[in-house]
Amino acid sequence: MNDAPLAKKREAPGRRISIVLAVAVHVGLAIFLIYGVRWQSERPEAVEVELVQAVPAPPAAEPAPAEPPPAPPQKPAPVVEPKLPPKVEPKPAPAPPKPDIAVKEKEKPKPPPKPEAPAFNPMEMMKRELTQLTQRNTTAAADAELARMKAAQAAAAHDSASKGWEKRIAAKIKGNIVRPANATGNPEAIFEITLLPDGSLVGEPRLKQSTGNAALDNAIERAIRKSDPLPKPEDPSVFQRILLLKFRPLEE
Amino acid sequence: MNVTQDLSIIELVANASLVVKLVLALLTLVSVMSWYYIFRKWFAIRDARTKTDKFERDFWSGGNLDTLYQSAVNDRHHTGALEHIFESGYREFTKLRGQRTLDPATIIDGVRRAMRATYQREIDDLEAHLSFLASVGSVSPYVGLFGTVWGIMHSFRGLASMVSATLAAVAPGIAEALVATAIGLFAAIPAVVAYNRFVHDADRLAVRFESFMEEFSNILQRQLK
Repeated sequence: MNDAPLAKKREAPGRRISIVLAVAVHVGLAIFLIYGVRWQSERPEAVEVELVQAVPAPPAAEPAPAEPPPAPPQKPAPVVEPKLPPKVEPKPAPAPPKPDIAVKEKEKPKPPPKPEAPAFNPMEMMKRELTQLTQRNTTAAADAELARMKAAQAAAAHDSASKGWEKRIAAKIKGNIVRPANATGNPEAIFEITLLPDGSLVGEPRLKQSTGNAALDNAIERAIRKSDPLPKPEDPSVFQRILLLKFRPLEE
Repeated sequence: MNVTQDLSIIELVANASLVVKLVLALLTLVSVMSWYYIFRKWFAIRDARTKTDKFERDFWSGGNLDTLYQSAVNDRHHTGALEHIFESGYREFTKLRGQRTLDPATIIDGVRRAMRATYQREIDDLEAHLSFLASVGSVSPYVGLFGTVWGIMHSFRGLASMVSATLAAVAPGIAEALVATAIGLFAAIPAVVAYNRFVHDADRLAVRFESFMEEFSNILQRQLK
């Protein structure tokens, strides 16, 4: 007699493979979430970098031709390139002087293998000593040049930081402008505002130059008040109490 | 405020409050279990369907009922639900037929009862754990929502202590709270889809079993005459 229930004896199929698959699904999801999803809230501000490099380029062209061009082991780098002095200074690489920064960057990988050969040549050593001596004179001038450029660069950085800040303020205000229906063309308005260091507005925005359309001027003024508090500068040293803001509200 | 904040999942989870972390852990566990049952049920139902197909083919190809019964009994651990129903019905039939005193209607009734008992057991087996999937599908969004609400409460309380209330101060808190809802939905959606699918498949198998039972009773009744 085997009347006993049949179903109890059976083992459910695929128990182990199910565990493996369930874990695999979650590991896959975790990998996807960790590596696939990355929300960057960073603003692209590559423009600033370009501005800084653009400023030192013209003065860099001047000192380069002043150096003695025939000498192969020369140190053109500290003069032309204030950005990478530690890399280039110790190596008297026999690179021909080039005023162009972009070209220099490309040629740098080539010289390092070369100096091994002239290292044992006494004539070459003498020559190098000589050029280094002559160069010491030029470096004094170059140092002054460098300092001047560094100052210019710092000023440029400061300038661009403050420009970036003004740009952010202008962008925030622009987002709040409600354009009146009758506004046409591309008029420019200049407003003067007074700020506290935390970005909040003091007093009324003062209209310095009208767009010629009273409704548009009012709209900008309302937008300025609505944007209070305005964004703070990332670098607190660029903060100015009084700002002149230019608007072209109809510009696309 | 650090505006250039890197919002990766790990950072969001690591910065979340304890309650949110607990909710996330619970939801992950539930999700793993529900996926385990999804795969298990999937294999089980696929297996039941192929075995039912095979047995129906064997049965309707006109073989001898006694040999079918013998093979079903001998290979009991590898047979499908339909074969079990057939086996219990035929066993009851052979037993009752030996007693000459019973009339055909009583015999068929007994066979039907035996088959129905096995059928109930098999269907119960097929539908086991489906209620777990249903619960996961309906409850885990709420659990995730609870984590989110708690996290948002937390981040708003932090906002109260700040001098200047900016969006940047609350946004990371809200984002990390919303991860709880995301995980809850991730657990719920497959569970609901799988539940509906498996219930449908189990129903179709049940219909096939029932019609087989009816047809098999007719065949046995004809044999009695």
